[in-house]
Amino acid sequence: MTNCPECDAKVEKHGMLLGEVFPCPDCGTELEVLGNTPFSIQPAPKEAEDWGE
Amino acid sequence: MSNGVRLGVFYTIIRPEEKAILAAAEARGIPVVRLDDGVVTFGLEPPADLPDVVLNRSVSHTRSLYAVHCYSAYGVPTVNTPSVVELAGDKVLCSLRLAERHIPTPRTVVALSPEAAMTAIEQIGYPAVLKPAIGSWGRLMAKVDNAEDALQILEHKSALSSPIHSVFYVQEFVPKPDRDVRAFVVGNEVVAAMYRRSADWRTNAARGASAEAAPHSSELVDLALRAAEAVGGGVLAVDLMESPSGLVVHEVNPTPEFKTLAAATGVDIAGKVVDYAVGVARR
Repeated sequence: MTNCPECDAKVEKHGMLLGEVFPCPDCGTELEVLGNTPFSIQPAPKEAEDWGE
Repeated sequence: MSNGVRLGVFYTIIRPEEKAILAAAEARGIPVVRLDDGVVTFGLEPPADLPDVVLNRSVSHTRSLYAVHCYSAYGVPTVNTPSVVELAGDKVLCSLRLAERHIPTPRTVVALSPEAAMTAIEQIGYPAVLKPAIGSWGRLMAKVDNAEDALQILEHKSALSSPIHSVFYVQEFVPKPDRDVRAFVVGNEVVAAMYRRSADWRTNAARGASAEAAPHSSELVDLALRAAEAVGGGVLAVDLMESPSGLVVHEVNPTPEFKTLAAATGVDIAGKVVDYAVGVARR
């Protein structure tokens, strides 16, 4: 269990991969998994101008 | 089976596509070396313990380009190759190549200053579409309906400091149904295709377009394979529009997303991508 760095909501996810991105269930901010033991997150990288397919 | 191949996956973030790729590799018993594009460094000499092939999944064109060049210099094959990333990742270079190969594509004029861009827009005629040369997902694209729009949009672009905005890629607005077509090419095969439908003139899945499987018509397959081959082949998403005179290719994407396409078609695209990468691995 950890908290969203944007809205402080409690966030708990299981079975996620390092680097996986997901939206905060409360505020929708994109979050990135930093570690699983213990579970830690940070805001996902912001989209840059050269991002794409 | 891995056949002893170690698969490098170069990535920015783990999206559903990368998750599916990692799962497909695991299901095949293929060891994966995760290469975070914000962490890895590149010396001039090949480092020890290189993977046998690197699948580029970075969302950054700049990072992709330098990374595939470095891995290539180390003797590690990459999917896609440096020249494919360079060509397909830049709309200007891609359009030039498509035209050179006589592949139907919308009329396009490139300008390198706001003043020349105004001329380019007048040459194309209204409505015109202004796109960044690099980037996807319909971001920073503008439909220009008249000279007043053009002046305002060019003024806004001029205020942006990134060099990306000093290249003006102007294309004719193609009258099409409320959909476009995406064909996903792996090697010499169109493995899946879908219509992307939207009320917005931009039909990107990232902008919420709905998707449905599209038939693999001979025209679609032929054009998609020719477009993929024109930029050098590999794993590519070819985007096409149904113009009044037939299909036209407007983009070839070298690091394609496929979550929506896989869901719409039921095709195991991640598995096909992994199998292709293993097939080009060094022996």
